[in-house]
Order: sequence, then structure tokens, then C-alpha cells
Amino acid sequence: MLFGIEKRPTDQRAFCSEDGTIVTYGALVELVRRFVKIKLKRALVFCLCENSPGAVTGYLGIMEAGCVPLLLDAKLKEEILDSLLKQYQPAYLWVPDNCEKEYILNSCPVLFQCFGYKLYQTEYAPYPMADNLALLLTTSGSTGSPKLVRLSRKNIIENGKAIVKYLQIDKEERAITSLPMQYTYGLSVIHSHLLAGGSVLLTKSSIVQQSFWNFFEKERATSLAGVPYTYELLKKIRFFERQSTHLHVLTQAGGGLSETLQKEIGEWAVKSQVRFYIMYGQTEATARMSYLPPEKCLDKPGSIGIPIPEGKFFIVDSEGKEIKQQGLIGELVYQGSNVSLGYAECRMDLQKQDERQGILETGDLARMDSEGYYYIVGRKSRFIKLFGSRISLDDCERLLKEKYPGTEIACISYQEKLIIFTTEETIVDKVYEYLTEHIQINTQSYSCILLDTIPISESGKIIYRELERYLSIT
Amino acid sequence: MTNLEKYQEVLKKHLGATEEELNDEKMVYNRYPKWDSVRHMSIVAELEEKFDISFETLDITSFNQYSAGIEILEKLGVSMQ
Repeated sequence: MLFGIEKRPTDQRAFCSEDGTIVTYGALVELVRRFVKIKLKRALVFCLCENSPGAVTGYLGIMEAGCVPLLLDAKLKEEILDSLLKQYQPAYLWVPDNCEKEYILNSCPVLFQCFGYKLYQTEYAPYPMADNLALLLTTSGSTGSPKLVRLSRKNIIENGKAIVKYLQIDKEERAITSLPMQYTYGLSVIHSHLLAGGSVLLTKSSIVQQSFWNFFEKERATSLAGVPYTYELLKKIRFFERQSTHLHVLTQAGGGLSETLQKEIGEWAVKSQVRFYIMYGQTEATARMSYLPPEKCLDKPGSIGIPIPEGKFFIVDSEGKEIKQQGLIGELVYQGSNVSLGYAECRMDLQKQDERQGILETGDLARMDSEGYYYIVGRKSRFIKLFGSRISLDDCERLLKEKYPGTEIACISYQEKLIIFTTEETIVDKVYEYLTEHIQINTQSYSCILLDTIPISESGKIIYRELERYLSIT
Repeated sequence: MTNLEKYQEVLKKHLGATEEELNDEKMVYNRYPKWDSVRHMSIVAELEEKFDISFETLDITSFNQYSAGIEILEKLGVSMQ
């Protein structure tokens, strides 16, 4: 079975949830077997996810039954779900009972149910899909883009194994789900812990809620995962002013952490005997591509570390030729068995074969230092050319965030101008003067706009497209 | 404007809530559609600034519905009568 779950001691906990549900490996295997016994035709299944035993059990059952799940947020807006349904025509749906989507489900027969989830058969007939296709993830979560990442079982297992190895996950680990399971990083936490025979503490609460921390304490969570925004929140709720007796692993991915925060958490981690891993990855590589060993955290500010076990990085120039000289910037290319099969933009694409053959052009610009550690310097397209020099928009953001700690800042280029968005009124008149110290800029080539909030995706990343849309309207 | 009204203004501004929604039935963290962690922290920041107070960790994490906000502000010395 997937992740070797049938080989674990039957009384070992696979997951437990905030409402007190405990699922042992024995029970999980039994439920997955029942799923397989329904004898579903190989087809696409929309799996509406929340961090709960029903969602995870169903997800594993669907895959074991030879079907292909597409993981979506159970709170996805109706019109977005609707358009995805029309586009991809799944033969089955795995849906929580509390989900207010009755309009879709009214006439659908129920084939199976467990832990408050039901498997519905839709009116759509199964259609052919590539044999090695095992899982589909969205590229942009809530925006409803039909662009999906196609993953194989090998992708999932190989990336899981590498993560287990470098994070040293064993059966004693209890990871709490601080990220949604339909998000590649959140999913990788579940995969790697099941693969190691550990357990997953499933909660729908967010880290700014007391219920999360009550569960965290009650189940004595040993590891916590977060995107940069999670760490900013943890700082705001003064997590790093306390010690925890049971937590011993913190992981961070999903974008660059500011160097100040890296230092602060790095120092806290040393003092608290917590291993703090900064990592780098993309959905296109299943989840992880590199990690910074915890003992290097304070020596290598801003680094994404070294490739995961069995993975390789190359830096290439604009012609695609490898740059061997260290320190030079080029596009980061990754090679490994976790590189996805490619994208899908419509249901016909689910028949496509492996289009990447283990090689992923990340679209990120990077350099390597003399000790073989990698640094992301920006996105290939996240640059603006001002007065002849290329300026990284990510660098501008980082500069401003470090100058004005705690403020929300987003930089984009629009019609050859640098546009800065912020939620902090007091800095609107100051950013220009500060930027002129660092980059060549004049008042005509920039503007600073005050917003109520900066749009952030469920994974904590700034949604730049929405900011552009804002400009095109005003 | 009373302190209660100021509190309500902040919720309306950050969550786009209407007068009728300002109750424990509707205004619940994670259930009210826009009340996510991002807006939660913006609300906390603005309340701190408006009333010149500082939320402790437990104040931030136990602020989970409309009335909880009122109780926390009272506890922090803001008269909500």
C-alpha cells in the first residue's frame, strides 16, 4: 500500500484530530481496503479538503483504489468549483458533510462514507488518463485557474523518502498540520510522516486561535511547518519568547524568510534545542528541492541550502548552458525523481506522458556560494529595468521590509514603473527617500499606494496578479 | 463615538461587515468568510493603535468571535459600557 501503511504496528497512531478522533494505522489500512473494495473505475476524483481524518483517509483510499484525486479547498467558492467541475468532469467527488454544495450533490448516489465524508458518483463518465498519473494539485489555490500539476506515485514516494531522510523523521514524530493539506507543503508533511510511521495531528484551526495551541499542547506536537507569513504570525503572538518541551523541529518553506527573522528564529532554535530547517520547493517538484541544515542556519542567511538527497541543482544562462563559475547568477534548474510530469490545463491533458523527464526549470534566479549553498535572488520575471539597470522587485520588498519591520509591502512593475503597495500610511512619504539610497530611481518612475490589505494566498504568498488588476482598474 | 462604536468600526472596515452581522452568530473567526489570519492581525493591530493597548498572546488567540473582542478590550482597560 501507499507509504507502506500496512507494515506499521496496527495500534500505532496514524492521525488524531481536535475533536478527539484517533485513527490507528490498523484502522486506516482497514478503511483504505474498504475503499478499494468498492471497485471504482479509474477516474478523476475531486477531493474537497480540510485538515481532518475524513479528508486524509479518503485521499489515501482514492489513490489506493487506482483513482486520481485533485485536491481542492473544501471552502472553495462555488463558482470556481463549478467551472473546475465543467472543465475536468470528475466521475466521483469526496466531500465533507458540512460542505454547503448541495446543489451539486442532490441527485448523486453515495458510494461510501467515513468520518463525516461521502463519496458521490457524478453524472460524468470516466475518461482515459495516463497510467502513471496519480495526483493533481492546483498551481494557484483559490484563484480558480484550471492549470494543474500532474504528479506520479513515484514523485510522491521519492520526495517523501528524501524528506524523511533529511528531516530525520521517525515513528515518534507528531507533526501538527499548520498548513492546508491541499497545499503541496502541507501535503508533504502528511506524506513524510506516514512514510516514517509517525503520526499527524489534524486541526482546522489556525495558529492565531487558542484551539490550535490547546491541541498542540494536549498532543505534545513535535514539529510545526510554516510559510514566511506563519513565522511573522508566530513572532506577533510571541511564540519565540517561550520554550516548548515537546517541539523539536520547525520547518519553513513557501518563499523567502527575511534575514532578520531567520536570525531571530535561528538563535531561538539553538537556545531551545529545536532544529530549524529552511527549505525550498515548488508544487512542480512535488514539494521539496533543497534544505538548509539547521547547524548552518545562522552562517548562511538568505540561503535555500543544498539539494535534498538524490536531487541536483544546476545554474544555467539564458541559452540554457550550465554556468560552472560560482557566484554568477542564472536560472536554477533542478533534477530529481520528484520532478512532476508536467501541467494540465484541460481534461485531455490528463492523458499526457512525462514531459519533464526529471528536469525542472524553476523560473527562479539563483547563485551558489563557494561551499555549494544556493541563494535565490529573484524570479526570472520579477525584475524591473530602471535607467538601464535590472532591479529585483523581491530585493526592493526585502529592503523595505527590513527598514520598516512589521509593515506589509509588495512591489510590482507596471508600465515601466516601480509600484510599491503598503498598508502603513506613515511610510508612504518615506519609502522614496529610502529607496534612492539603494537604487537609481526618480519620482516619475515610482509610486507608492496605500491599501487596506495586501492580497495574500492561502499559502501566504502575495498575489501579485491582483495588485496588477487593481492598477488596471484605477 | 463610544468605544463600542469604535470597535465596531474596525470590524466593519477590515471584514466588510454590516451592522446586522455584528453578533456572535455571524462574526466568528474562520466562519465569517473574510475573517482569516491576515485580517485577524490587521484588526488586532488597529485596535491596539486606536486604544493604545497591547494584546497579549492569549488575547490574540482567544479573540475568536464578536463578543470575545469586547471582553478582551474591557480586560485591557477599555471601557465598553
